[in-house]
This record gives sequence, structure tokens and C-alpha cells, in this order.
Amino acid sequence: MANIDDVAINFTRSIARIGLLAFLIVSFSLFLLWRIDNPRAENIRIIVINRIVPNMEWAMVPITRVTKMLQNFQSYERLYSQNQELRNELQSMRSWHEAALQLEQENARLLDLNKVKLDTKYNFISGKILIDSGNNFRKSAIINLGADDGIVEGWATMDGLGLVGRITGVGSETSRVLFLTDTSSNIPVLIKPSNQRAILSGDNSSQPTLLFIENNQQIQPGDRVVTSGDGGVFPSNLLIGKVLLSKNNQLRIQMAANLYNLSFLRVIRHSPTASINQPNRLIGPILPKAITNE
Amino acid sequence: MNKETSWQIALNRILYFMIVFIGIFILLIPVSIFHNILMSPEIIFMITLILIIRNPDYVPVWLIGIVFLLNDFLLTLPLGLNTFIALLTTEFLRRNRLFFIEMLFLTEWLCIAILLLAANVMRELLLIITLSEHAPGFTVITQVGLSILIYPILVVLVSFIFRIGKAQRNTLYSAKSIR
Repeated sequence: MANIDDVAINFTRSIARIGLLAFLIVSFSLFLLWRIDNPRAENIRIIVINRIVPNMEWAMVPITRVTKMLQNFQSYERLYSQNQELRNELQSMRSWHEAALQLEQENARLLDLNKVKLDTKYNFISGKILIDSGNNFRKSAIINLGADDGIVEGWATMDGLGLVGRITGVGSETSRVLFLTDTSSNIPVLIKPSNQRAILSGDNSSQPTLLFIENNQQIQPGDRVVTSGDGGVFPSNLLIGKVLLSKNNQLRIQMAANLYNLSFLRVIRHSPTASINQPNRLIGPILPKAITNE
Repeated sequence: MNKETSWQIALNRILYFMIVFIGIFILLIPVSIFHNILMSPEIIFMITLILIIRNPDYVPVWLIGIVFLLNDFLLTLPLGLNTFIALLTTEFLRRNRLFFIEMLFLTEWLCIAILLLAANVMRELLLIITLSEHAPGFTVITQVGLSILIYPILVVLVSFIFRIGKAQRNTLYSAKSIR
């Protein structure tokens, strides 16, 4: 047998032998390098790994999938304890929910108390809209309340939520309500969190503009806008709406009142504090005719 | 006799490389289950030894060198050390494979066990001589023990996958085909 092996030594065999020798030398010198200059050898290793491992990503996909499946099975095993945990969490969530509901109710109560205070000061008369004469030119409506009902020019009108406009022109049984959106409507307002004062000016669009703001930077879209009561025309703190930023960077107001679906209006009884420029005049509201006639 | 064509040999070499690559790959997966089961026996080394006895054409020197260098690089083992030892062991086996072919399986198993033990002792010695860090003796012993234990299983698997066996080979032809 050994004879045959010796005979078989030929050209390819010697090449294989040289290859073996080369591999032996390379591997052993690599080992020595690894032992002597470890950081450099580790660098070489990192380079090799960086060349090979990212190319193995595609092979990783099924493996990771299988691993995930295994983990899923393990999580199935833990299903009962997980269920128990979730139940506990749900219980605590329920208590939070209860707390939130109670807070909400308390908040509503407090708000209600606030309103009571407001209502004692300003009581109101409700009227029905007869004609909504809104067009591109004028934004106004006629209501079925007039001087006979004690309506005085300049009083504020609201729908359920927000300010709609003011009384301009009082007949004996009807009066005209000029909407905030009308071009001739300019009222002083207060923008709420920052307490900025401005003039709300209608321009016949559904969203009146805010003019003469002291500091634009402090106002953000979504801020609440209420009447300021400056000038004594309107009572203060009546909700108007919230600030909008229009496309051409103009501050406008999204009105709380729904101007497109008005049927009833409430007119706020309000006695403006008249300025004392004629000391000999009686201070007070101009009394309706019905009362003065009596 | 069934003298194999060169492309059959090439195909089997690719098969060998794929198996080794999958083995390394499994060890590289960041899942600890596989480590505990497969880390211990030197499966790649064993497969190489089995193939050398059955058909050395499938595992030429350069392929063994590349495979074990890859193994060393990717598994953060001492660079080149396993390659060196694997090359020496396989070359020893390659030269004496005719004796192994004629052996009974039990004898072959015993000889392989001795060879494996010698290779491991040599590796540990090299590590000790160069004052390198080396694995604790207990793990090395379990590794060698496990490798020896699974040798018959691996022989059956490899014979099945590569469709080779000692009995089917004509010794004269195989001796000539040694390169």
C-alpha cells in the first residue's frame, strides 16, 4: 500500500504539498501575530467579519423568523400570567377612569357655578330670528324682540355658545342684529391665555379678522377669544371663538356660534357703564319707551 | 468502478462548504439554545475527518484551510490556531487513510478518538506555551468527549449526505486518486 502511495507522487501532489506548507505557515504566523500583536490581529478579524457577515443578512431572515416563532410560543406559555397582569392593569385603569369622570363632573360643576355668577349679572331674553338677511353686503338678522321687550341698541346677542353680534336698530317689536362678520362690526376682544387685546373686525367672510394686536408672537392658533368689555359696549368675558391662522398668515377667528344654523338668539341685558362726560346727566341705561310711557 | 467526474467532486466540495458554513452560521446566531447544544462538539472538524477517510477528493487542503480560517475568524477563536492543527491532523489522516479504510469501525472510532485527543492536547499545549488565555480544562474534556460520542452518528449522516462509504471504494483507485 505504501508503495502505491509513493508511486502516486506526481506534479499535482507536489503542488498540493506546497499548498499545505503555505497554509501551515500562514496559519501559524497568523496565530503568532494574534498572540504578539493582538489588537492588530483583532482589527484584521473585524475587517474580515465586516466583509462576510453583512452578506449573510439574507440568510438571517428565516432564522430570525423561527426565533420569533419560538419566542411567540414562549409567550403563549406565559399567556395565563400575562392575562392576569392585564387584568390587574385593567383594574387600576378602571380606577383612573373613575377618577377622571369624577374630575370631569367636578370641573363641570365649577364651570356651572361660574356661569351662575355670570348669569346673575347678565340675564337675557331669548328671541326668534324672523329674517336672516345675510348676504354678501350685510350680515345681519331681524329678531322678534323689540323696544317693547326692553331691547336696547348695542346689547350683545348670543346663540347657545358664543357671541353672534349686537343689536343695531330697535323697532317696537323687532330689532336688527348685526353679526360680528359684518364689515361694519368692530369690537374689542381679549385673547385668553396671553391676555392680548385686539379689535375683531368683520369682513363679510365667515371668519372675522383680528386687528391691532399688541404682540403677535404670544398668540397661537386655538387660543380662546372673548369680549374684553372695553368701551362698555359689551359685557366682558363672552365667548366669541378661537384663533385661526389663515392661509395668508392672517389671524382670524373661528366663531363658536354657528352662524349658518341660527334660529334662536338670546339678547344679553347689559347696562353699560356710561362714561361720565356730562356730570349733569343721570347715569344709567336709556330706558325703553314702554317703561317711560307708563 | 464509479470513477467520479470532476464536476461531481466540485459539487461535493460545495456541499461540504455549505454544511460547514451552516454550522458556523448556527453558532453565530444570537440564540443561546443553539450554543449549549452545538458549541461543545467540534462538528466541522469531525465531518472533515470522516470525509478524508471516505473520500479525500472532497476536502482538498486549500478547502480545509479556507474553512478553518473562516471558522477562526468568525467565531473569535485564536486566529490560525485551529487551522494549523486541523491541517496537520487531516494531513496525517490523509497519508494514513489506507490503514483507516481497512479498519473495523470500532477500531477506526478508537483511532479517531486518539487523534482528536492528540489534536486537542496539541492545541492546549500551544496555548500554554504562548501564555495565551485558554478555555478551562473541564470544557475542553467535555468537548472532546462529546465529539467522540457523536462520531458514529456523524459517520452515518455524512455517508448518507455524500453517498459514500468505505466498502464501496476500491482501494487501488482511491489510492491513485490521492492528490
